[in-house]
Amino acid sequence: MNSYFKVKFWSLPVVGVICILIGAYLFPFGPDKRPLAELLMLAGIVQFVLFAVWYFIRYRRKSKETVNS
Amino acid sequence: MMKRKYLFASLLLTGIILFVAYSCTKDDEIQGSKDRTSNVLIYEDKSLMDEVSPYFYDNHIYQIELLGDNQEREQIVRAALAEGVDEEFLMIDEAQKFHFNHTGVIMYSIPTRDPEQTLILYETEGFYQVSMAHFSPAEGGLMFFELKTMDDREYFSLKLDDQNNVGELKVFENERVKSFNKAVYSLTLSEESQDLTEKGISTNCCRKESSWSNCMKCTVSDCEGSWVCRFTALIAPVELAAGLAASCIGAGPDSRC
Repeated sequence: MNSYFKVKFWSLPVVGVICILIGAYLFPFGPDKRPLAELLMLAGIVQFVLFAVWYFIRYRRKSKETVNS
Repeated sequence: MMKRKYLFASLLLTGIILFVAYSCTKDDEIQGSKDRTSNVLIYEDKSLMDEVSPYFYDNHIYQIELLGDNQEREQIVRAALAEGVDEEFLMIDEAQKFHFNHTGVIMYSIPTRDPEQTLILYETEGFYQVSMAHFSPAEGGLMFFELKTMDDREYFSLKLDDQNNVGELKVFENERVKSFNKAVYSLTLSEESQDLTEKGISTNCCRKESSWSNCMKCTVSDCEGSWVCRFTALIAPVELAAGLAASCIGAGPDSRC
């Protein structure tokens, strides 16, 4: 995996954490901020899910390479 | 020939005039009977509907109606009779209905044969609280006013001077009023909780809670009502908890929302 994909890969959980932290921070601010808070949390969840899927694909590819070698 | 035509035209004209006059009289009669059965608006200030003053003594009445001879009036008379009021004692034709801007409770007042007494009924969702208002002159040119439930127990009294300034306000413990208040409170609460269920989210700003722990409790209960928040708690519980905890720092009645 080249450096571009490495950055892309590890940015997913980092951005996910940041989105969830900001979303959770805005959550107790009442109904006005609630849609933004939920949107950020949802974005964070999507980042985490993408990371998990990509991680699983990488793990499977690596394990296949190990078996082949 | 001309004379005949003239006579016919004048008859026709007279007939039309008579018909119109008769119709108008008939309309007036119908209108009159309608007025007797429907409520008549005595006072209305629509600006008071939107601007609710936070002060107790300020104007909270935005509409007053004179009750017509209808089912609504029958219902309040029935509620009064059920509390042992004599129908002959009431001047039911002068019954009035008061709408308040700060509560959904409606007040009816029915003058009685005794000029110093007025029957007061509070109504909400079909529940009635029947009371008797007593007015009497007090020392120093003041007016003494008290409200009693029908078991002759007072729950509210005050004195008014000639400029309607309130003084010596006293509120008494009264079981009947307490149970009516409970009924109103539980009705209001169930309506509010229904609203919350319909909206799916709380309308509270949890940072207005008195302490950090109360803010957290409020936020957690709000979070339970939001599927996104619950899903986030499944995926990233630590991050979510950290974000909520940080947000509740500095929570209090004066905090920013």
